[in-house]
Amino acid sequence: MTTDEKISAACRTAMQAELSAPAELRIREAIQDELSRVNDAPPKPIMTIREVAAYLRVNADVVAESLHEVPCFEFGGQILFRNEAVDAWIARREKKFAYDVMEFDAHHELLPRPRAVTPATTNA
Amino acid sequence: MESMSDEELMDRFCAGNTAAFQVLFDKYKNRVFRFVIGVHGPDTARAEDIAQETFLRVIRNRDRFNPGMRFTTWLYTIARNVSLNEIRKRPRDPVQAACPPDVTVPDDRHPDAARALAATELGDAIRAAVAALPEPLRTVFVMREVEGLSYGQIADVTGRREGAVRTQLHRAKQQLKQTLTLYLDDSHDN
Repeated sequence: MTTDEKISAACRTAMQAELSAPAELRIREAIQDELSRVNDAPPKPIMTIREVAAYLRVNADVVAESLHEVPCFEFGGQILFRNEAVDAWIARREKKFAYDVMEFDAHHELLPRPRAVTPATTNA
Repeated sequence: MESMSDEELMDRFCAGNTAAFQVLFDKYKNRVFRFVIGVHGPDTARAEDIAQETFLRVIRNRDRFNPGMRFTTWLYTIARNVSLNEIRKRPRDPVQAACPPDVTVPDDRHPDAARALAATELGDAIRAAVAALPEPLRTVFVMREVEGLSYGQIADVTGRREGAVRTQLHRAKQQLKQTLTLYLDDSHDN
């Protein structure tokens, strides 16, 4: 083993360290406080893709794939969203969804109901 | 959720899943703590505070995480920045700065006793020697030799080219070699 390798091996051993249990508990509590502030924070008037994703409770990829649909604008090399515009877009989707459900229900009534298959009508 | 990559977990966290952040914390809590001790110094209480601040900054700045970047690169960058800020705030101790690390040289007249002494003090000697390295060398050494990061990742964290990182690592090892050779020859050659 060369001196360099000895130094590396000795350092890896000597520099091992773990958080003590009380310290870990204290950090977890601080993290919980911070996370609760994150969850309670009001939405910002201008949001990034990630903020919109968090707002809509989907992954950022889903928002990125829906840029043709979600109202957004480009500024400073990044895609941004006005919170009000996103809310208006959500409202339009709600109306459309409600209409789609009504249409489906109406269509569904026209479909022949599937016949129930009972043991008595089946020929083994 | 444990089987997800760090970047997938970060994506989930950014989408509002706080459990994803807990997985990341469990995975990296000790690595961040160890890294901070290596960069900032062996003051355990301060290192705990810095580790805490690192994870809080991950939460606060989650929207700035670049999905094209490795999570560990971003995490170590934050940990390094917080550590260096703390070092800058620390009042300078001219006596400590002027003195070399407190390394006891083994006694050649009593090899066994010297070996035992070396074994018990080797850890302290190494930590003191690493802490005495100038900052860029210390960070690069800890990231490469203790944390096992690639040269590319270290270059990203420190904002230097890979060639410069290799040079700094070499210089760090040379300095440590000068300080620790007597210890390592005596305690590790058997």
